[in-house]
Amino acid sequence: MTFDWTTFILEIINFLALVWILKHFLYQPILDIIARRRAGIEKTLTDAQQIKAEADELKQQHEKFLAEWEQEKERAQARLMAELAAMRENKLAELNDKINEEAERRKVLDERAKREFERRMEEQGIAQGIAFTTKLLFRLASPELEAALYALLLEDLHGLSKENKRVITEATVVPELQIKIQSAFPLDENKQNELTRYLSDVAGRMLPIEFQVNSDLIAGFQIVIGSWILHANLRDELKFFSGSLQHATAGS
Amino acid sequence: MSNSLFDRQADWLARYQYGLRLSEQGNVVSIGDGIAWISGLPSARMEDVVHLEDGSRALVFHLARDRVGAILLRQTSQLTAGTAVFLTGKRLSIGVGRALLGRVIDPLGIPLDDAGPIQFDIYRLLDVRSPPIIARDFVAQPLYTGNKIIDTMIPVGKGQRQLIIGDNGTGKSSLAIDAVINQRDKNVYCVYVLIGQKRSTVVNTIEILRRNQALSNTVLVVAEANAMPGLKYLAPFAGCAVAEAWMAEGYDTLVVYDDLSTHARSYRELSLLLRRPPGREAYPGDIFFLHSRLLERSTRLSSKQGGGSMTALPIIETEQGEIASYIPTNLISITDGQIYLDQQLFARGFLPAIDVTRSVSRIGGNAQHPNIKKEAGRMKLDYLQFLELEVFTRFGSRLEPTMEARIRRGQILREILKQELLTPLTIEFQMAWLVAYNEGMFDHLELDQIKPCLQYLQEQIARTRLSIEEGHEQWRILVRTWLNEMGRA
Repeated sequence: MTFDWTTFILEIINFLALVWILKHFLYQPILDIIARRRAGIEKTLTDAQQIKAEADELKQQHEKFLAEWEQEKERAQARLMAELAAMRENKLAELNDKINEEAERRKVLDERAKREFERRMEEQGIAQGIAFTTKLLFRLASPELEAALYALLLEDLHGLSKENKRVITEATVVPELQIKIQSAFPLDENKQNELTRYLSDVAGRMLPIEFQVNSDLIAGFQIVIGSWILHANLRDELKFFSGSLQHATAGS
Repeated sequence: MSNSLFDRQADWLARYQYGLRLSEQGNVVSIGDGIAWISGLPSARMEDVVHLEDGSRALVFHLARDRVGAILLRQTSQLTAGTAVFLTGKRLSIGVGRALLGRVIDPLGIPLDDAGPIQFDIYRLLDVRSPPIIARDFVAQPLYTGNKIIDTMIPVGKGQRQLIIGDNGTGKSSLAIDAVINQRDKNVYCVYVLIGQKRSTVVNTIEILRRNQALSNTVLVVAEANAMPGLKYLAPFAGCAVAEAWMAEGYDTLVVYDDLSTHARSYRELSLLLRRPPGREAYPGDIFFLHSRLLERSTRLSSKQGGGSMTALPIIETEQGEIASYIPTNLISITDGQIYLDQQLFARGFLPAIDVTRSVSRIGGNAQHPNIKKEAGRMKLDYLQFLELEVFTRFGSRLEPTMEARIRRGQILREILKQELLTPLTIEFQMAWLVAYNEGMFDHLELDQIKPCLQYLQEQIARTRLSIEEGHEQWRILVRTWLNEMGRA
């Protein structure tokens, strides 16, 4: 085999062309791709680190927020508890006021009812006392008692105050006056004359007098002169005691 | 010294001595028209009770130089000139207490029904001083009348004095009877005073109350038209004393004076018979004092005084709607508000014929339940504006759609406010229709659909346990549900 320089040189040129082609169309692009991928990886890494930093920051913020929220919650809860306590206190105070008011109201009403009951009892007591005394006196009334009361009547008539004497005198001035004298037991003629004499003296003239017996008086007398009545009997004394008759004491 | 009866008697006994005593005796000079002229009795005082020899009773009412004028309270056939008259030194009193519930009495406490005699434990003076201001509390609790207009727009509080005023035949008494019926399950004792009414009216009132189970917590004080003028004059004071006794025991009471114009006329008659000089419109000058003294006794007592209350519904009759005449003017100024019933509204079929424009409750708003007050809110004002707007529609002029809507709502409200006689309504029903109206739930309805709708609401209210204490939202949901159910049915 012969050595051919031309072929050798052409082979070398061919080899160099191949190397050039490989370098420019295969090796360089691969290098570029590798460089780009490396840059991409670095960028991703940087981004990841940034995200991680942001996440850490967010985490810190969240933890801070959680802590703050927890504090706020505690404060709100404390506020709520305080408000509830205040409200409860107010409601309790209101309820206490109402209870006290109701208790006071009940007390007032009970006292009033008690007073009313006492008053009724007192009235009943007095009424029964009068009923008893009336029954008792009806049995005890006698002409002797009547005579004693007559003596007292005369004594009181003679001892009449000037004012009362004037009142009776004025009452007798009325024309056609009819004087009525009632007694529980029949009055004898002497006593009738005595009373007629006395009243005529007071009037200064003779007066027509009607004498009647009225056993309701129990014992004693009732003299009606015009618009005045002179009471000297046991029935009216009991009425005066119960307050059902208005009177003035004649001797005073 | 204690003021007990025993102590007074003990004091009397300590000074007691048997002796001659003087007392007065008068004589009847003349009798006529329920008046007795009596000579003598120089110690007689005004309003002393005097006993007459024949068993009659009278009340000293006029003091002249030489004689006493007395109004007869009880007159026997034996009463003639010359009959002896005795002073009792006592003022007129009436038996009071729970024994009166369900009874019909005259102003002296004598039963007029056939339920037998009444056993009284307590007697109370007919004329006493009204409670002092320190014994009173604010009017703060509502007294429901069962009437839609009153309970929402002219509310009445316990202890208030609310005048019912209007012409003859406008439904004043019915309104008051409704209010009495509405108290039957509310622990409020009622006193219905009938002054100078015809017997048929009295019987009718008793029957209505009995039919509606309201007689058991009511007492009727009756002085019929043919009663002696003295009894007609005393009737409101007797009713007031009965209610006052319950108030003093801590109960809530309602007293109706039906009516005070007749009372004023009776008092005028008595005064003229007693030859007192007449004043304005021939009424005696003290008629104002008389009525104010009567109505001042209505109040709400403080808890220190037992906490009872007396609400008064005086009725007054006007002539031709004239509210500026003497007696109506007096009573309007004495009371805390008035419910005005209008003849024209009555004639147009708007029942009860309450004229909202002229009716007012000066203190009732304070007593209204907050939820009702909130719902009723501007209703009165809106209704008054509607009445004004409605006048324009009479001229046939075209209106803006918003105006038309307002008029329509007003017409619906007017339809809602109509109420049958003797049908007092619960406050829960009032709440329901108020919520429904305010939420516009009636807006799409025709006017003739309102009544059945309200009827349905009322039926549902009877079944629910929701109270007016619940908030607006709960009521809104419930009422809407009912109305939807009704729409589907």
